[in-house]
Amino acid sequence: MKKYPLGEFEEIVLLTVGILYDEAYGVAIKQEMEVQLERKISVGALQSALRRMEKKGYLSSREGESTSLRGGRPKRFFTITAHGKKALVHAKDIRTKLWSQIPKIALDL
Amino acid sequence: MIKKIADRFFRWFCHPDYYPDIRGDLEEIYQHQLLQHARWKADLQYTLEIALLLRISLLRPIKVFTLMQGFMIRNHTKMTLRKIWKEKFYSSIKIGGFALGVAACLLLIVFLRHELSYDRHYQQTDDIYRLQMTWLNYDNARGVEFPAPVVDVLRSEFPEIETAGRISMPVFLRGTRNLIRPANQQQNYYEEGVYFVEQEVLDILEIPMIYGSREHALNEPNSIVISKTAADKYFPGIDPVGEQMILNDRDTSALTIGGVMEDFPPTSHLSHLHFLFSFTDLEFWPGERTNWCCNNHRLYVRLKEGTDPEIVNTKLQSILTKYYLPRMQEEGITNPEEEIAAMVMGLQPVRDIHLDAEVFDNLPHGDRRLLWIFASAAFLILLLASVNFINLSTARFSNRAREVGVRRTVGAFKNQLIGQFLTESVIYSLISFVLGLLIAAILIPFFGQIAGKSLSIPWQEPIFLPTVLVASLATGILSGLYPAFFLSSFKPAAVMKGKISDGSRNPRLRNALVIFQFTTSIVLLIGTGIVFRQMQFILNKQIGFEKDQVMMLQGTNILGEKVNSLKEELLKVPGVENVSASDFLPIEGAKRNGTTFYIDGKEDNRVSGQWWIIDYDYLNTLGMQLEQGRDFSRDLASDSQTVIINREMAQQLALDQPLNQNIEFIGGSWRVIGVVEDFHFESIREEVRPLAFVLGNSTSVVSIKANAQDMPKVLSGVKGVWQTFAPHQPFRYQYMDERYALMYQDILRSGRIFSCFAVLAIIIACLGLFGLTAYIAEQRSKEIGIRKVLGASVGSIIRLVSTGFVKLVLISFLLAIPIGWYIMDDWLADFVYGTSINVWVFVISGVLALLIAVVTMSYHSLQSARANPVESIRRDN
Repeated sequence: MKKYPLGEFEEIVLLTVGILYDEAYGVAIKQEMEVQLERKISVGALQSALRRMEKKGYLSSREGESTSLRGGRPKRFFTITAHGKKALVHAKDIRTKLWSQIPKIALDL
Repeated sequence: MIKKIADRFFRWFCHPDYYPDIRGDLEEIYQHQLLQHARWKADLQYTLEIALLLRISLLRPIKVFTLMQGFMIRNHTKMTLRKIWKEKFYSSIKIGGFALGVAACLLLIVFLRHELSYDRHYQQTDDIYRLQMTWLNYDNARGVEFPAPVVDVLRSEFPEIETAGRISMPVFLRGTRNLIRPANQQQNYYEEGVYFVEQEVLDILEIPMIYGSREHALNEPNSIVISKTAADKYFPGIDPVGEQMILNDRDTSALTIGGVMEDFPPTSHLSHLHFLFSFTDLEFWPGERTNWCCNNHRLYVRLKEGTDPEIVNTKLQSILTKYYLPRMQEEGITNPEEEIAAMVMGLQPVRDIHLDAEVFDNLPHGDRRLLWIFASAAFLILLLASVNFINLSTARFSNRAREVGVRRTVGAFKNQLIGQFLTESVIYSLISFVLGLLIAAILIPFFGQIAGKSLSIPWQEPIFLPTVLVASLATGILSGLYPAFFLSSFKPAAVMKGKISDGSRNPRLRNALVIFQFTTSIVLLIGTGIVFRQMQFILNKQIGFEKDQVMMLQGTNILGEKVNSLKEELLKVPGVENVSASDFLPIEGAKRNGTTFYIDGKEDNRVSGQWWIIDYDYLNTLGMQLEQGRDFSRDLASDSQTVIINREMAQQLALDQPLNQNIEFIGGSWRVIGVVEDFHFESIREEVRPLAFVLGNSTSVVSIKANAQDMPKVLSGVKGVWQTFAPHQPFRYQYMDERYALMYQDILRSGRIFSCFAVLAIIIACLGLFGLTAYIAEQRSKEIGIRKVLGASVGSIIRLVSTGFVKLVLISFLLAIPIGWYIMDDWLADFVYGTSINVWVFVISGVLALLIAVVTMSYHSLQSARANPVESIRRDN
């Protein structure tokens, strides 16, 4: 059993939620990701990642205001939990560890 | 609209906790999209997003309740099967009626599918067209024959056209001059389906070759491509390419086989083609290839992929002004510009040809109107069958009421009860569909014969069985809905106390359904009656000539001058009264021509009509009546410039005293010596057109009028004479009355199909009625018993049981009269000479339906009336 199960896409979503800090709701995350990753993200992919991570406890959410642009429906804002932060750090550590072990010559292409 | 549906779908599958804010996100994105894109694009994007939201982590959790329902299905199935077994009588009526309906529906759908599948098998179906000409001045009549040089214009002046090619068919009786044999044999065979075809057509129609190459099978002059069937007949087991065949005994110009093609599929408008002659270097007469006078060629084209046919249609008009107009001016036609303006050249998509019966091309066609009638009949019959099901299920509800009460008391939800009844009806429907498929599979050869097509159930089609399955599920659910809601709505307490046990409660819907069934049946009966009356009317109508006991001997042109001695010899056969040689005959498919007639000095009254070439014995042989004047006479040499006209011609030329007037046509002046009474020489659907007779030689057919009891003997006599004259020629003959009846085969066919479905509808309706009376009799058995004890007669009890239904049938009859009248009046309007709508047809249909209904009901009413009252009264409850 993995200690901090976190898929690559999930990791990116989690990071984006971090970037947006207090403004992280569906559309905002989607737009930010599209800008950062330079590719299209579907609402489905994003939402399923968000809900999965909420269940794992990496994210918490609260209901926000509703606007007429949204047809009177509320926004749901996500924030990273302490557990989520640990998962991110863990993922980053593993990457750094791996990077540092690559012999210089292997990347000298 | 799309957005709404997508939304509903989303709401259905999405987890309710997640729904509001995701929906909000979607809306926001959608509004954003709207600012940048068109609405449809935004809608599409939206739908796509929703489709991508279909993920397990976002799904609505599956409830335990749904799972429970799943378990119940096994129980429901078991209950249903037990029930079917227990109530064999009612189940077999329900299933039997349903199965019949399904079978009928399937047959009709197979037929429809066949009719709609014509000429769709080409790879480039959408780019293949046939050229047609519309004459606005002549009721928008459309023809498909053009002068030969049109094809060169199409090739040189129309870059949009990828390939163009000519086909020509000898018209008379599908080509009379087609005796054929392999070069090394003596015996000739008569073959139909002989066409002249240009090499290009092989390519346009994508004709698959077995031997030889499609690219140059017809390139050489005098080459021929034959079908697989023909190859198997004349050259069994070998590759016949390079072999020679002789056409019509012309030994000097043998034909070389350039290839063998697959037979045309039965769903091609050219499915009867078996011999394709090369058009290379061939002219029907010298100079034809460049002459714009005569329309003898059909033109097929393939456009460059994706070309809009409208562009070509518009451009085609230039052919008229550029080539037709000068020709007309040359001929001295008055107002050629007007004539040209009333002509429209256009492209007809190849896939439309089969169902376009209006175009004049001498090919068999389907009837679009008939297809509609059949489609609605299919739907109606299935509906009738479902109605039976509904009726029987609800009528017998009191038997189920107690079951429902117990189930509900024990704790069944209403939903579960609905589920139970729906499962039940779906199982009924599935069984019926399986049975119906079997019945249809057994009946389809017979049905194919009636419809005149080779039909088969498309088992090999991958979507066929799934479609049938879905259809049976849907029918099951639809016809189960009403009974399900009706039965499950009982209040358990009331039911258990036995308050609802009277089967006659709320019979209104049931009555309405019975009326619907019988109205449909009676309308179909009326339709059948009128179709057959019209058929009788046509066959017995005074058509102006004698068609009975006339034999047409074909292929006599081969004898040349010897035809006259043949005629003499034939007259010696006992029983033969008259003999005439002419291939212009008053039946569809015989030789035809056309020109314009006018009277010198009255050039503006031009009449278009035909001039038939006949001999001295023609009028007598065919029994045509002279109204004025005389027949042609062998004694008067001057008769070669005289003409006999029909009354219509006299009227249209406005001749009060036609005798000895001169009429101008085909570049000559002809003196009228006689006027014949009008006779029908085309279908009776059309009015008689102007016609003239002149003397001459046109001797492909010899008509023999006999007056004998023993026709077979006459026939063998005629055959004997023929064989002495033409020993190696096949003896081909037809009786004129049979050939005449053939012209109306389509009416006969629709009549037969109509009557089949009328019978089916009646059977289904009566099955329902049978079940209903059985039920009513059963319900009222106690009442009947008491009545009998008190002295009621058998008659009065029969009346008691059946009066209600007899009333319903009578109401149906009243309803059916206007409906039947309206529909058949419309149908008859298509005939210029139609039968009148007779009251008796209605009366007979009504009485017939009533009689059948009474007979159906009498079985059970008699049984209950005769039963020993003790049996029914003794039973408690």
